[in-house]
Amino acid sequence: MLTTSGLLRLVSTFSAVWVICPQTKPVAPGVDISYVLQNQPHSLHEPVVLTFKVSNGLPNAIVLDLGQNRENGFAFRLLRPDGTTVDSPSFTRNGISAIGTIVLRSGESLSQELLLNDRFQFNIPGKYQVVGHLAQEITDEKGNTLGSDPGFQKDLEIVPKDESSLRKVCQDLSDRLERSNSYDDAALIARELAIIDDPVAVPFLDKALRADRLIEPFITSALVRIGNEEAVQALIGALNGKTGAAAEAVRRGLTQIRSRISDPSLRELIDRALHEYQSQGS
Amino acid sequence: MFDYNPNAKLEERDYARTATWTLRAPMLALSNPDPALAFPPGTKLLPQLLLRNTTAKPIDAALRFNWRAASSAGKAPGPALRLAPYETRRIDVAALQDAAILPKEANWTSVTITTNSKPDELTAVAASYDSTLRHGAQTPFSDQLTFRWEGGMWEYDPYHSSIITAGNGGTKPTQAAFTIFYNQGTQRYDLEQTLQPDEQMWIDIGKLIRERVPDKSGKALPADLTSGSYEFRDLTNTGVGTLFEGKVIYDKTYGHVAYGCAACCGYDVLNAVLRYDPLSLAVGSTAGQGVDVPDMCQGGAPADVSPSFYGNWSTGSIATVDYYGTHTGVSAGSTTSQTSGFLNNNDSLRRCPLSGTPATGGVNVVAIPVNFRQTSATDAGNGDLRFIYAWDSSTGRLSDLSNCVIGEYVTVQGNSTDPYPWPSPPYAAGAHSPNPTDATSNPPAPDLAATMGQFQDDHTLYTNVPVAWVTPYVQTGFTSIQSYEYKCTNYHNGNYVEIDGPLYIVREVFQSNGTWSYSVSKSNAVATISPLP
Repeated sequence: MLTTSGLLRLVSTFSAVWVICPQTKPVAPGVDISYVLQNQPHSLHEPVVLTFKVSNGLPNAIVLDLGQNRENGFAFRLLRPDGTTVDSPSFTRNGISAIGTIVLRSGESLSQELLLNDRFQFNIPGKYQVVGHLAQEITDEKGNTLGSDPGFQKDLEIVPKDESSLRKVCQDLSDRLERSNSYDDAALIARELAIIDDPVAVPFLDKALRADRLIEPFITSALVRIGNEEAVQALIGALNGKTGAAAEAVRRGLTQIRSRISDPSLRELIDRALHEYQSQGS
Repeated sequence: MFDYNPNAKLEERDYARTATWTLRAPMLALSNPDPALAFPPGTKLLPQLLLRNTTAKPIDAALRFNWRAASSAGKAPGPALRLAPYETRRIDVAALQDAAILPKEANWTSVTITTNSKPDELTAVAASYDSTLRHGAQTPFSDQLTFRWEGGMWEYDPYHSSIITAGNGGTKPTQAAFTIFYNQGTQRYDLEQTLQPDEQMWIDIGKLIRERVPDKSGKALPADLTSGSYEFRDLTNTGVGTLFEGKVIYDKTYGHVAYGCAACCGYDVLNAVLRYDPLSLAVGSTAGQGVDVPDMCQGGAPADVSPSFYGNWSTGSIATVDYYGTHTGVSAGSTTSQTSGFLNNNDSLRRCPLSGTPATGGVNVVAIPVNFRQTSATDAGNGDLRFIYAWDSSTGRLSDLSNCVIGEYVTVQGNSTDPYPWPSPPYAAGAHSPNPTDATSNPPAPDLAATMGQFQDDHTLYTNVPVAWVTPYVQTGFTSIQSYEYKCTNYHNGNYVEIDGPLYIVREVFQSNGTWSYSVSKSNAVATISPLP
């Protein structure tokens, strides 16, 4: 949902090229904003990552409002291959989130990756177009308006599912996860991996779940969503290897899978694992 | 038969750490035999000791006695001896009784020999028989002290009975536990007693059964019980115990007394480990460390032997460690800590000797979030009560928190259903609150990187369905209980640690002066929608 639709006007031309026409003054020279869409084209089910970059070449600090959790301040609209348009939903949420106000001192820059799959479903192959910008104006530290983000317009192609390509993406993410040296990096990679809604991802999710990186919520969620036998085995393995809240989250995940499957052998497998977990008093 | 190992070191056999090799015979029957032994009336025993110096140099030895009569007990010094090379000396204990060094009425005594010899260079035998050699008893000398003794069968029936004893061979009081196992080990009878140095607990099995003596939990032994096994445990000194033991089973028909030994228990000293490896602690905080070792009388179950390692701890400069193994983090980093101590080795053939045992492990001094605090609370509009919280790193650098996340845990109305349904009216049908920490919710509500140093917390209306107010309004309220918590991969086994809470989030719809309003409040802050549409 675009809460600042007045700031964004999208014009569809006959050739389906969209133009963004900001109604406010452009951002001051010296503030450089860019959006980079990675890894074109994407296979169906691949994560679609947009990198937002801003650098402050002004002599003074600038203030950007990226919104709740540093995500909700972006307004996006997607033109799908079937001609329909979708506005990105609001990310307003109950609970804790990162503070969206960012102060960039002179000479500083910021790079932030946005996972577009969190906002849109890229579930049919074809050519998409995505436009977007920061909804709030950029200011100085006193609140004076410096201008607005001119935004971007990108073509995006989703090709039919290619299992080998998907596996390669998973492998790349898995390797990056192994190399990552902070929770921030690991969490972003885990989110990308978790977005791959395909059984191909399960072995990589399994490996990620066994990594001691505090990313269990993303991975567990993905395995529960996929919910095949391999995913169940991965969760059972984690149930035996985790303690505390992580183990409890896995238990809840297995319970969720059990409630929606009909395969008696898989249900029995889960029942046994849960029984063993409970009898251990874990 | 005596074993002699020329390589035996005093430090292996000086169980009480007195720097003197010490031998004990726990149950020497004195001239006036215990009536419980049922010797023929008038039987007079001739208790005596035989000491032999097995070396080519003189040996000094000193004796002392701890005697026991029917209703009294006491200590008595014995003679001090110098044994010439290869000399064998007989000590007539009966004569000591005649000379009133030991009371005539005493029935039993333990004999303690301290000597300046190396282990096993002095051999000693104690025997107590009458002049016909038909009635009497023996008690062997041993230097063994340990933390646990496992004893074989005792007997009690019309023709037999058993007396079992354990004594404190240490230099400080100790708490001794005695357990009888019966019914194939399925049932137990427990006694405990504080023993002063040299003091013995004296267990007359027949008396316990006959007189229905209750154990420490008030349970008596079955009146028809005829046999079982037993165990002694030193509850005070777990690494190197201070207990010695002895047992006699006697035959009331023929006056025979058979001495039996229990088996000493020891540890698998090669597998002593630090309890936490690595030990993780935060800068400025403390964490205890201990030493566990497989107890081979318990199937290798880990036993806490930390006191045996007190005073020998050391660690690297990023931490300090005190006498007891309590570590304090000084600066972030990794190091090792080590300690050493003596333990009873699981080598019963060598009398569970003392083994110097090292234990070492890693120490990670890590950054954790500290000084968690509320920095603001605002009514953000539309029923959103927004807080900002901040925290610091225990190292002073937020970037050090890269292995930590920080989050919240919320339950609605205690442990009610999850998700918790909001009542409708006044809320929209289907409105509910998920547990924000539920990893299986979609999308998950994950924790945040602790390196951020601050976050906002919005207590909004429900978000799962569009907000709508349903009439007729009714007064309603419910409370969510919230706590903030963090976890770090390298701290507290990666489990959550609460950093603030519980906090109470109260949501109410109420009518005041004819106006219906909604409010959400926490920590004396409130956001309202008034009037409701």
